[in-house]
Amino acid sequence: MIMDVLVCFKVVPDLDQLPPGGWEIDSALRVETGFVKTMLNPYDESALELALRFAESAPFPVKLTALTVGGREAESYLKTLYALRFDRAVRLESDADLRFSPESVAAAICAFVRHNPQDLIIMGRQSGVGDNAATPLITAEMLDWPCISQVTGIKIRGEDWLELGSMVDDGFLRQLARPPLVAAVGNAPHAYLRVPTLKERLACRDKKVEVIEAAIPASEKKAAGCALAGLAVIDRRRAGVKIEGANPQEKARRLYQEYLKGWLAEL
Amino acid sequence: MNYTVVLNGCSRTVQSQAEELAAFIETNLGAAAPGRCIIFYSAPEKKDELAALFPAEYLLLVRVERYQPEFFLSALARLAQDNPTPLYLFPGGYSGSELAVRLACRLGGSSLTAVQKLEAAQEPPVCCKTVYSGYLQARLELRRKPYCLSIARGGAGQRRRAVKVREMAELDMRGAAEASFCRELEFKEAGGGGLEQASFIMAAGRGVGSKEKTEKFKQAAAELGAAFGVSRPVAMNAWAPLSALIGASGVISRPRLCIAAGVSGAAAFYAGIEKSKHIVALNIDEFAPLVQTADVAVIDDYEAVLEELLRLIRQERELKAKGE
Ligand SMILES: Cc1cc2nc3c(=O)[nH]c(=O)nc-3n(C[C@H](O)[C@H](O)[C@H](O)COP(=O)(O)OP(=O)(O)OC[C@H]3O[C@@H](n4cnc5c(N)ncnc54)[C@H](O)[C@@H]3O)c2cc1C
Repeated sequence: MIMDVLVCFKVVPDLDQLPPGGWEIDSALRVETGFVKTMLNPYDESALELALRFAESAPFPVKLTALTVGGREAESYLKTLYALRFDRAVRLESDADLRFSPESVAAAICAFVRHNPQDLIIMGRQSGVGDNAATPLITAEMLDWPCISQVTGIKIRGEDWLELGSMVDDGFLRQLARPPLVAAVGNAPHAYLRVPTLKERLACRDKKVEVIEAAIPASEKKAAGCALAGLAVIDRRRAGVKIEGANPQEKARRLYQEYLKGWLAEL
Repeated sequence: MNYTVVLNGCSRTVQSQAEELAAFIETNLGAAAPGRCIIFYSAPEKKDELAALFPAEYLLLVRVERYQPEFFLSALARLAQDNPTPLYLFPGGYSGSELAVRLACRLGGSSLTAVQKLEAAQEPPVCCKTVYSGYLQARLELRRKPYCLSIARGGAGQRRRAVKVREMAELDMRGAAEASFCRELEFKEAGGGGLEQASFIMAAGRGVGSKEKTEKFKQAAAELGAAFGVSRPVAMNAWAPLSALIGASGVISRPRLCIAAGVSGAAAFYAGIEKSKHIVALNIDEFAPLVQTADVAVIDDYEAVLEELLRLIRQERELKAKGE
């Protein structure tokens, strides 16, 4: 038996790098993020690493496909995934504004899955920019698959069961589940994506990323449940008083005398 | 706008879910808006208590084996078919967001998660929520009925005003558990450390440096009577348990005082402390964003500052003890 596992990920701008005054929103409500570096959406990064560990520990071959919907900014990440032993690295090309249309992203993923059948789909539960927290859930609904959300670990159990750890509102759950299913990855400790060695990179330097036009039918584009009508920077500034002093001890004393003592007394 | 509220009574968090939803409804729809409430529950001894949590004109209690979204969804979809409302409101936890999005798919409606504000009188209705990892506020028009929304966590809570319950019904869906695609092996309650309710919290960020130093920081917090929290990298490095995570993907706290050390102040973290009355930043970098979004900041090595603070507070306590 071979198991087909699809991992969906998104490359996002590292928004924490934008200085407070650096947000530019144009009249079409687009945001200029071109000058900050990109990164893997942290939840998707965990999804990719969990998939690699899953494949390594499975007693049968696992075919790993990494997929992203979007533009060329994902190209180098896809190459890295080849070096990390993903069998296929696929980019569903689209230049549409998908920020607030998880329905369209899910539709493109589902169209791919219909042509490339999978047993398990792993993806991050949410990504910055849209912050929709919806794509894995809609993907599961469109495929009519069950979904386990806030996943923190995936293991194989026997021939056809998966053991999944996940978080729920008030605790941690461990369950056995039968694929096919969508695993939406949440806060998974220690799940940082490994880095390939130079040798691993060189070994797959000629492998080409598969680029396929994203199947987002015109009607699907309109299918977004919501339309963006406004975007504004949130100003969270407070007084930001900097405590002066010659050394940390002196600063601590001032902080305590002038502020903390009173605030602690209020408690 | 007529609405249906859905509560996950299998979770210990159900009371705060109910209170946050009650406040959301009163602010956004008005206390008099006609509503229904559906409560899923698994412990029969809690039924009466749960039924009193969210008085609505029509109240439905659905007994299930455990929290399992697939059962909740098939029940909700069926109920929505027989007796639809244009608006479904879910609490802000994991289950609320999952159910909102998936129910909208099944009913052909629009969904949004973590909604802060709903302008229901507009046509189409508009929701406000934070986007771009918490840096921006978006206004989004809802295109299709029914609207399935989960509200933002950590909003103000209030007890719901008494409403006369006209009809109360019950449903038993426990049999459904047998056919499920999955089986529960183990459930462990998260010991939250009281971060949500704490009046004083101390939060450690990546700048604290190591697992050992995080542990030391936690002890300092305990000595000062503060609840202990951490930023995402600290939790991801497993320097502290996940239940201590503060922020958009963790706990939303509302203390009177928050001291954050070695935290840069990314918006996703700040979401978890912004309701603090006073914020103190201990950071070595004067350009860290938290320096501007705190009330006061000490620009220095947090360890030296914290050590001196501990000394001062101990001294003060001793003096007090002697005086008494
Ligand atoms: C979808 C999404 C959701 C997220 N959810 C959350 C969330 O819920 N919670 C969360 O925290 N993050 C969340 N994040 C991550 C967030 O964007 C930041 O990456 C994270 O908060 C940074 O954590 P940090 O401040 O501890 O680390 P850093 O940003 O690395 O900051 C470390 C700070 O420590 C300071 N420092 C270093 N040494 C010292 C010293 N000796 N003394 C004093 N200061 C020192 C540095 O100057 C720096 O400012 C999320 C991100 C995404 C994309």
